[in-house]
Amino acid sequence: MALRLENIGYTYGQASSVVTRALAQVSLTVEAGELVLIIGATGSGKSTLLRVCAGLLEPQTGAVSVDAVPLTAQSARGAVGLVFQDAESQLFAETVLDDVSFGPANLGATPQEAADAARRALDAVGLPAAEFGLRSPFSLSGGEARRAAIAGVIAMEPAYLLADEPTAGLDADGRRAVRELLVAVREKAGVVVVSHSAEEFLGHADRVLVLMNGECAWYGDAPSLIADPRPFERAGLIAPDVLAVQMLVADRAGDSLGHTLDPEAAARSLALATGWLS
Amino acid sequence: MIRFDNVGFAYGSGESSVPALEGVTLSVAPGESIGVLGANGSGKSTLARLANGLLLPQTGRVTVEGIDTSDPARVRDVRTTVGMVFQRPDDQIVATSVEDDVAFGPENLGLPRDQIRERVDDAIAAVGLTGLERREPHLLSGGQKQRLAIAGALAMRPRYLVFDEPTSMLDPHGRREVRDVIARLTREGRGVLLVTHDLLEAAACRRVVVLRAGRVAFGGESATLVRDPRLMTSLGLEEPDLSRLVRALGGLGVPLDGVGYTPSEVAEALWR
Repeated sequence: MALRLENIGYTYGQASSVVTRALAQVSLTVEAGELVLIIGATGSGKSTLLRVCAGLLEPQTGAVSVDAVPLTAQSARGAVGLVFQDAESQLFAETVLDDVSFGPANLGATPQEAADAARRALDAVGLPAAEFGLRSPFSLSGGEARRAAIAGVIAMEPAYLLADEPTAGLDADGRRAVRELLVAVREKAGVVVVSHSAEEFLGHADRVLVLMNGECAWYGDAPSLIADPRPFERAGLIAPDVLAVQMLVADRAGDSLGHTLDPEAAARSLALATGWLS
Repeated sequence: MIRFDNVGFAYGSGESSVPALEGVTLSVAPGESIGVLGANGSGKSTLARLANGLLLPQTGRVTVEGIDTSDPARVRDVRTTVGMVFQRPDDQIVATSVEDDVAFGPENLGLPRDQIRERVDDAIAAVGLTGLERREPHLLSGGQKQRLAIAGALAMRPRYLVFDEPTSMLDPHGRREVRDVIARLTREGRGVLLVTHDLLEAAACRRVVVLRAGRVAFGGESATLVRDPRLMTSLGLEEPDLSRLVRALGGLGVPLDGVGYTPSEVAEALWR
């Protein structure tokens, strides 16, 4: 059971004079129960790749399949759910419950089934229907609104949940809530998170795809990227602060430290490498 | 000096009135930078908009170089003294080339041609966009667009700049570019009020104000805040990994007094 992309190529504007190659030869596998992090600089093809995963764009080369069935706009419905950037700007209904029920109702659920699915989804994002269901989506805080929008996708019970910059623009509490929510969703779905900074999800990810100019710059297990964070720089990215300090010290010490995201563990190895601890 | 004296502001009126700021007192001098932190809805953006008269206080007073922002005869003086840069540069870019966009403000002041040229060139140079004068703004990267928005504000030659989350839509490189520009503007003598979600970005300012529910919950040296995990938690802020690292290094006996909170400064200090 997996969402599988093989040798994907996508070019914008093929029929026009301005042709932009957005993706070339990108492969990716998302297993059920996995969190895959896609990082890359602005314009590296992250959002295009996510739209291909969701069946919203049909790649010109390569193949996309969901659980071994070729992905089409039709087969993606209900199987793959996409949370857009600034997802809360798409909230529209008079109540939170109506808004979150819209997706399942649109997929053919009865009003009762749709409302039940919406209640479960609202529970999952920490906005219980008893408290939030009858409120206007526009009365929610930034973080709550973002979570309500994610609930709207979860309510369709997709096997794969994709999220484009899910924490951008939120404050610390909002970011933490969305991060914990997406990490927990993994129990029920394969999760793909796209972000321009690795800081927040790297420690929770199973696998990471680093994109640069539409191509795969690095693909592998998250712990391997943490152990050797050089691909960040190669792809024009900035490594998380704690890793960056370790890389700078390792460069100058001339040997490789066992890099870690944990600040306390990093402090020990840094103090050892620079002679403050023996 | 920009001065807030016991400032209060509420949106709406009567029963549906929602207080956004209450009893806020602070000041920014030229050459000084203040970071403003707080959760969504804490009043940060309201504070930014009060600083240049986009909003007027309902209680208390905001003055800019002694001018009351509520004085209708002085609106233009206030706006040209305090420049404003918003979160989304796209909302602030109006023209079809970099130089035309920067020229928009000075042209509106009715300045002679050569003075406009000089201001535009200076502002573009100050944000490091020299060479891109003819570029269409939509072809710029996020960081370049935000620097263009800053240049547009700078062309008005303001003594103060107010930034409302200028880096929150940018990738890490864009963020670094914009931070560097803000730091340089402060060094060159402008007063800066920087509203941000990013604790380390705010801490690059000498002083920090933390708003909670419209009130100043902390005001003081940024070093005091970044070094005190309990204080950060009590203010609803998440301790950045880099300050956890610095604290852990301190606990292991590494002297890090006065070290700035960037990876290169921390790495450098380890070799001292």
